[in-house]
Amino acid sequence: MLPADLKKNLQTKIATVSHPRELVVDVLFDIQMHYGHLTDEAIHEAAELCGMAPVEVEELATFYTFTFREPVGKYVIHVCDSVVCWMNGYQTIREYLCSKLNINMGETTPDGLFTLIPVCCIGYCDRSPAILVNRKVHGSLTPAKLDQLIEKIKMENPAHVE
Amino acid sequence: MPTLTIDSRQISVPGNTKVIDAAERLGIMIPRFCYHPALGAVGACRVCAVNVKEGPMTGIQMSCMLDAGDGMVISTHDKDAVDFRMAVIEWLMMNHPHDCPVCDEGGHCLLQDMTVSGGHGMRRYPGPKRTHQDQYLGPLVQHEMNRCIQCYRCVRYYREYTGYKDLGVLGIGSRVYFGRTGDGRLESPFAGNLIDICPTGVFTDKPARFKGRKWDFERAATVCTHCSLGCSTITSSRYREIIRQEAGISPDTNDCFICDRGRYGFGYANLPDRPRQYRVNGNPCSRQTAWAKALDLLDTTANTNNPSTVALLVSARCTLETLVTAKHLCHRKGWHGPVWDAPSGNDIKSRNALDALAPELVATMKDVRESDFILAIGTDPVNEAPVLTLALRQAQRNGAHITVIDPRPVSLPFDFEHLPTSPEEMGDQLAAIVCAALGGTDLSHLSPAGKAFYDDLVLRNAAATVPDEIVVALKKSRHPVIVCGTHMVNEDLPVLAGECARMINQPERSAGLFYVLPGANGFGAAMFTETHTNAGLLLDKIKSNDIKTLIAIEPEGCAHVHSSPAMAGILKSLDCLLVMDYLESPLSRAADVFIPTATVFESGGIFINQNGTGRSMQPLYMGGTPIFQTGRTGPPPRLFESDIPGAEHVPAWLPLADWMGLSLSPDNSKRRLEILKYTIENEPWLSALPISGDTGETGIKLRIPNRRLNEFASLPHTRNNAGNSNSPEISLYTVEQTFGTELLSSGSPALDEVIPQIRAAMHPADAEFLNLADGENLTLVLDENHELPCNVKIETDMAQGFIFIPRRPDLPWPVPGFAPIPLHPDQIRREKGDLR
Amino acid sequence: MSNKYPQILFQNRKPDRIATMAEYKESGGYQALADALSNRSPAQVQEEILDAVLLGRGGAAFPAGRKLETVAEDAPHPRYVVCNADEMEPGTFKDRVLIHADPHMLIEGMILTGYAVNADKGIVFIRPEYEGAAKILEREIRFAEKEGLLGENILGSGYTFFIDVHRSGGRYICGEVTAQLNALEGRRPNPRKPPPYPTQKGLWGQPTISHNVETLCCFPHILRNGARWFRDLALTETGAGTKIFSISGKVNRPGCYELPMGVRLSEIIEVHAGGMVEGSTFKACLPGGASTGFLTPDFYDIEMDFDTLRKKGHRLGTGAIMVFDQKTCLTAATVNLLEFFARESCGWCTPCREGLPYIKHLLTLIENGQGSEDMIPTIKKMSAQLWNSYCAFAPGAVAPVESLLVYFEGEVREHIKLGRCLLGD
Repeated sequence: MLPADLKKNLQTKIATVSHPRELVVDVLFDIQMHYGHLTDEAIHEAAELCGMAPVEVEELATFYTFTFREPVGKYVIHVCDSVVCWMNGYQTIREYLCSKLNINMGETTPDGLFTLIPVCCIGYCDRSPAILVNRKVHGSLTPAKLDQLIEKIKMENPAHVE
Repeated sequence: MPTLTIDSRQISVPGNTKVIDAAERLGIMIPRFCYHPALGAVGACRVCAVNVKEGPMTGIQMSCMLDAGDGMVISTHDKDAVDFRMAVIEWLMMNHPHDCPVCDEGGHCLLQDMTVSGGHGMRRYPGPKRTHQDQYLGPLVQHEMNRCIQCYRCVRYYREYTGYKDLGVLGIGSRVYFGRTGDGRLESPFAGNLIDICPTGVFTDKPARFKGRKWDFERAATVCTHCSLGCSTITSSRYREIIRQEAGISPDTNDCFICDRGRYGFGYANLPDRPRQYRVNGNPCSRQTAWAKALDLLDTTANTNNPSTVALLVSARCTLETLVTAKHLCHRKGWHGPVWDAPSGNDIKSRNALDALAPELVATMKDVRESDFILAIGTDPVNEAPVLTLALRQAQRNGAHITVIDPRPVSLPFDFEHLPTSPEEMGDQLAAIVCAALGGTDLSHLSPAGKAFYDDLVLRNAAATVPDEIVVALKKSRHPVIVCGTHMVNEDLPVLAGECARMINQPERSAGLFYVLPGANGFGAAMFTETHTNAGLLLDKIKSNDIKTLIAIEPEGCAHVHSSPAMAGILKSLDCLLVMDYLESPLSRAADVFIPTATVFESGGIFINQNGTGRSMQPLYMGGTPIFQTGRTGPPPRLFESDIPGAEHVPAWLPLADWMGLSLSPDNSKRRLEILKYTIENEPWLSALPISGDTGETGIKLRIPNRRLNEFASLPHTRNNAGNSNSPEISLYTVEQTFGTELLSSGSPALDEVIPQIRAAMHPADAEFLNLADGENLTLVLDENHELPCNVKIETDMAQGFIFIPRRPDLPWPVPGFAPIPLHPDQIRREKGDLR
Repeated sequence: MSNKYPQILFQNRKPDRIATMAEYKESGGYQALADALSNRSPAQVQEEILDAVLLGRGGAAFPAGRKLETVAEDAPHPRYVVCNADEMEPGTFKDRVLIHADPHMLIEGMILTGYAVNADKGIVFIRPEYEGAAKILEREIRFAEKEGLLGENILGSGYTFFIDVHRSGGRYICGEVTAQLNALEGRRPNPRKPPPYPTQKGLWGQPTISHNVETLCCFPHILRNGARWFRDLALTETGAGTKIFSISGKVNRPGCYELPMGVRLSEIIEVHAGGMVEGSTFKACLPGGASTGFLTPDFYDIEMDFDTLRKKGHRLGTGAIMVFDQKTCLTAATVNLLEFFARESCGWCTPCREGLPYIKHLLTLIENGQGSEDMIPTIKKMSAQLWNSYCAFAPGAVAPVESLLVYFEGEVREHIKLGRCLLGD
């Protein structure tokens, strides 16, 4: 169940707009932040908040790139695989990440810390190859930079257990 | 009227006609998947491509999206167009499982047809196929997503056309998925139409799975007999079993869709315990024996008693032929009746309705769909006449204002105004709306009776207040329709509704009147049964020994509440009980002589729907015990016989005609025409019906010679002002439900799972007064012999002072005809062990 | 940076931070708004924009002034201005840079557009990857409101206009104008087929003007300096204004450059982007994002404006130049582009939903050396057929495929002959 304050925040936000459903993506993002991903319960809660039928919310939650209907790690790494990153070393980056985290694309590390997902062009072609970590960009990547990034996150989450 | 050329042939079409429809008028069927006349065009599938040779935009265009324009030259068989359509089919077949051999759609599959006719005979695409997992969608509709070609018809039908919201399109790109948020029964009682509109086998008829191909079936156009709307259906049978029903197309009634009650309600015809044999005193016997015994009993009665001690009971499920024959038999013999076995008072209300139904005012379902203002009073569409809901929905989609005045917790799949009102006050509200809307209108053209009626409206108006927006909407409307029920209303309400429709019918506003009647042939029953009696009075007469012989022909209410001790007692007073039916009931089991009758699928027959449209059905099959029930399906050697087991049934009119001395041909099809001729010739207002029995696809509009448009009835001002709100009593009403209350469909095994448990709907204030919580079990003590266990359902959107329970045929009801029962709080008992 | 050309949209661009509102004002910012509100009628604003020949910078190059004119004077309220910041065309990142450089330019541009059509509300539809830009805009919108430049009764003129930021859930199709309206309404972002056009019945059925970020950013400058000035910025007769080129790929200095419309491709690569990276030679480029066709060395000196490219059968698109070198297999690059489009197809119409994966599969087989000769005519024919899909997505998606098979058919056939990719790993 959603914490009362989050629910109230969302309700307050929704009350300011003329069509509650226009905020559905924002609501999904906020609820996703709470649960980690969009659970079945989350879909129903978002639907109720936005005055929509659950399946209408499901239609969106399964459509968009950044709404997750399945459990993901605490850190979702989106690896850009579009053409500029592709020609500037996406493959190296992807293989390095997969071997370092010991998972395939689309998978989550057993400790629940990382999920690897390929993503379409994220608009950082001037800093390719680039990835997003929880929607924050990291560009001009090299294996060394990735090491730093991953280690930093691991340090910040010493005893992370799913 | 633009004139265009399609494949070198010219045609003129009305403005706003799409090229795909213009071509169809020429007999050129352009392929289509996403396009459907009831759903409109969206241009998603791209298979209706044509080449526009001349026109504002030349080249490949989608004919469903293109308005036919003057001077356009269009080719459907130009190479580019053919190639493109072939490409579309190839794309659609990339992921299709090619599982036609095990697919129920096979043989009547649009995708199959288009694949073959489009010339895509060879799979070129070397890639793998994407697959999906299917969902459980309930007992009626089978899901098989791998077959999907993403035409979006299902979601558009389900969400846009019907307004239900539990089916959607999930995912993106080539992985789009049509389903629910999770496994579960589709909530719409119109979900079965998904089977019809899906152009391939994603949604198939679950109870009919693997039971045959289209060409295995005996198929016939039929009329649905599960409510008074008379929707078109197509019925398929095989091995002496009805297998499935599809929606027929009838623009004046159901358009292209039916409800699931109609689609799956046929099961009663196949039941293993359907009475298929003649019986005397409960013992099976030959037709000759039973026939002789019946004659003997009737002769004895006539000799020893007055003929008026013989009563004949019929119902709205009888065919027109049976009703007319029964009427003339009673008249000729001097018997009592025929008596209409309808729920209490519904007979007189129906007669009142027909009396007010001026031919000029008659509204069809098409009129309802095209209306801009609908006032439904005393009716609960989803439960009483389900497909009416879809007509209302179409009006609402086009911007119509819809109001329902009814005490029940009426729920519709779209926005509407509900005024939960007691039956006593509904008339006042109707009057207030009409009166307010007419304010300032010149009424000088009215006859004295009309003026008197208006004065009466003004009087009633003072007693009610109604929301302004309803009045404003009615004032603005050009095609208002008043829909009026015949169950949850006072006797005078149908008359009032009819007079109000007359009243608002002005030069600039053509009003319509639409009654919901009880039963498939409620219209016929109202016309051909005896007006001064009813089922309740008949039972009184039996109790008082004025009636000693009862002939019950396909009865409805009476037959099926005989499990109640009260009714069993009444039966004992009879000397002789003769029952003719295709259903087993407490009444049929108690019969001295039982004659098995044919269902409409076996006998055919005419039904008149609620607006007076007569539709005839041809017999679909001979009937007889389904082969799988005979035990004769085993391996050879088999016993071959010339007879059909269990096929002794006769149309209900046959014994009646025999007793009347009509000489009919022994040949089935000949005597069917003979009885039809007799029916038409003996009732002048039926003369519009063809002697051939072919009423065509749309039926024959029958108009009863009743009061004309400008003749107002002088209204009996029967408003009961004595309603005492301080009285602690609560009225217990039985009401119809989509599933489980209509007699025929409630016996259909396919629907068993969708029949809800018996719940007692009550207003929160009443629940509070009685100290009851939602979901709580309770027992209603109807009288010392009758108790009814049920479950509390608190409904905020209903009138106070009522309990509504579904009118299940098996309820042990103590009062004839399901008349409402006033309950004192003492009679509402909480179940023991309640911790609250 | 050796840019000799006037910097208009980038006048306040700084290497390390966002320009403040004060800096924007100092550079002449919000003067156009103050002037328009007190001295010009909406019709006059429309006329100036029309006269400036400002073509939509989001890729379709529709004249911005003509779009404004299609909102009828008596059209109902509320009316909306949608800023399309859903920049998802691969290779394109100019809008992100613009918002990070000088957010008030966009805000002023939106208000001016709003004023031109008497709109009530502006909405910035922004892709979720640009969360940083979204936050910047939200903050700067509040600053503008505080100063009376936005909100109720702007600068005492009586004109009221609000701006909201709306985050997308993230899908390329959301950049399509009509799909974006569905997305804004919380519906599945399938495109809508006009008529009615969005300027008649758009968001919530109300008149709606949609413009790209860069287009909107041009508004204040045109109104402040005049249409004539704007047109004269271009190097070519047919062009008008400057263009933000986002250049990436095998060049030394990938990034955004504001250059006059009509600047030569060779100059962009050699002068501004610092030339090809060491060891690379120019093989081809996509001139305006993933949905444009390859430009070969034959076009190396072409003048980069909408009209010149169109005459040569090409499109300037978003002006996102992706440069490929001789070591890059263009068949593989096209497979990558098709993967993008197939993944992002919304699934509404058949050709796009099924045709793109089909072509992608065939081209992948070819790239992997498993192709056959008959696949080439199939791909060509199918690509042409994809032009008959519901919206402009699929025609854009096949642009690289079609040009690959025009200019590099030999290279593609090599794969089939040799049974492998010559450049691949």
